[in-house]
Amino acid sequence: MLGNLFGIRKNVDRKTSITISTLAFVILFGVWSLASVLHLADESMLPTPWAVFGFIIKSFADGSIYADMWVSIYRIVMGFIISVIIGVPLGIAIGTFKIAECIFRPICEFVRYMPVPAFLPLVMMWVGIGEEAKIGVILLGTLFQMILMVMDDALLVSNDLLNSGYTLGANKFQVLCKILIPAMMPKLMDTLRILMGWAWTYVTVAELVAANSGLGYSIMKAQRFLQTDAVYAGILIIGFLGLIFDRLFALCNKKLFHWVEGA
Amino acid sequence: MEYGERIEAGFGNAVIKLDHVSKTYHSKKKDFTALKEINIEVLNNEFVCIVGPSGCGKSTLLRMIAGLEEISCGEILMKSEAIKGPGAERGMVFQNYTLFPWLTVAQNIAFGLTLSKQPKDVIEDKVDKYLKIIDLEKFRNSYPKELSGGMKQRVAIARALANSPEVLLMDEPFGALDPYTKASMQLLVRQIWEDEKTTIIFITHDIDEAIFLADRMYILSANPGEVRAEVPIYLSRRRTLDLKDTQDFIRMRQILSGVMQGNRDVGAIAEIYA
Ligand SMILES: Nc1ncnc2c1ncn2[C@@H]1O[C@H](COP(=O)(O)OP(=O)(O)OP(=O)(O)O)[C@@H](O)[C@H]1O
Ligand SMILES: [Mg+2]
Repeated sequence: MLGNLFGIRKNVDRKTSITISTLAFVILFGVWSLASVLHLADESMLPTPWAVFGFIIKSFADGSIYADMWVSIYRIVMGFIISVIIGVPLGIAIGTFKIAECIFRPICEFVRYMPVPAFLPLVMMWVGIGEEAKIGVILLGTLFQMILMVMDDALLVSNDLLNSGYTLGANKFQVLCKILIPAMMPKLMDTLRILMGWAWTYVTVAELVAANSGLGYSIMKAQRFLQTDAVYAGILIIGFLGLIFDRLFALCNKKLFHWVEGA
Repeated sequence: MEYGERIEAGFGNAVIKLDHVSKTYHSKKKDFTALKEINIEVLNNEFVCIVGPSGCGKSTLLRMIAGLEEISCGEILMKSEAIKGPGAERGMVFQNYTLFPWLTVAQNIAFGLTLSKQPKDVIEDKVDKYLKIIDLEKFRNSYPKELSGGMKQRVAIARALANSPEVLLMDEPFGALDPYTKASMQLLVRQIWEDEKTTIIFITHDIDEAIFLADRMYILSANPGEVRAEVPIYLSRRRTLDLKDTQDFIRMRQILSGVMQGNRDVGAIAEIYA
């Protein structure tokens, strides 16, 4: 049984896999505790885990974190929604129609390799440092990736599936709306889930550089006052929030797309 | 009317007619002729099988009839009119499983009918009818992922038939099934063909399957794909599985598989009815 742990694509039972995963966390936590207790690093660099978790609990208890948290979530949701509104239809069009592919694909392939943080000064010049700037950064960071990933999702729908639509009398429009789009939905939602993770990175980048609110900003502020535990707490909270969003997405997908084969 | 007479009477008024059809794939290195000068005629209410070794262009041929693939040369006519693209009058069952996974079995069968906006009760009646024919009434509300391969192909057949196509095109629909399931599916298709009075063009590389199903078969050869022989199958109209064990059937299989593999001369076919 345990030999399966080292077999290629072999399965172990749920209990074993959860135990091992938990163990990995415990070890990580243990190493951290040990390192901080033994002062392997300066305390201002590496606070104890309980100081960090204490800080997290306190900031939730006294409510000081909520304002920053909601602001960050608002920015992400806004940036993400705009990105979806533009990116999904465009991605589907590029994956479906040659004309859209010829026009947009080279541009997207090019832009996606440009470093988004380098656009920050530009974005600030264009729209100032208001909410638009943060939302703009998220948009820049996710849109071009999204377009290309959605394109791939559309391309993955098998020709035979579309062809069976044609032989059942569907016209071009019906094949697009009644076959291609429903067929790519599960993959599309997975793509959005992955990009949601990216959005968290970009909102933090924007808030570290150009903001006076938000979780990223709170990390920046804590660093200025050498509150290392607050810095760690901020990073962890962002991680947790990202994880929660991710799990929510995954749960929705599982409910919505119960029909996916091999799921 | 005897089968032979039906052919005589029907010629010239084929439902599907391929007139010197060729297909060439162009690539950078060189052109590849998949099909060359194919002449095939299929009459109304006929069951025609097209057999040939793997890669000889059978799928390509059927896809061209369906209107899914461009013709390089020649012409394909349906009731004397050139085929321009795919349409509901030529239903198709594919080699791979192509059910819509997000729809239930019943919704899959109803797909073509909902596209053409048939009234609800008509759709429901048809779905009931075909669910019964393919014997999957219990799976009405199941999703394709809950079905076995054979069941999926049965639903695919029902989905195509519910749309009342004039010609049903089938591309090795049972290629991936085990021999037992395959045999029962063959029986089912032959049965459906008799009851529904459709015209079927059925592709396979299995000579056994072709003899069992067909009224007439075309044997293709590979590289380039050409019609090697056209063989009428004079077996009783009503076919049961024990037919496969009869002397006639076995002899026919011997000769025709020899012809298909190219170890026998086409002239050998004359021996069958000698
Ligand atoms: N899009 C394509 N481009 C180039 N060559 C192709 C293309 N599609 C098919 N071919 C070639 O045409 C030939 C016929 O292919 P086809 O799929 O029609 O064969 P088949 O008789 O259906 O084979 P099988 O029994 O394995 O399904 C093959 O040699 C294949 O390599
Ligand atoms: Mg094929």
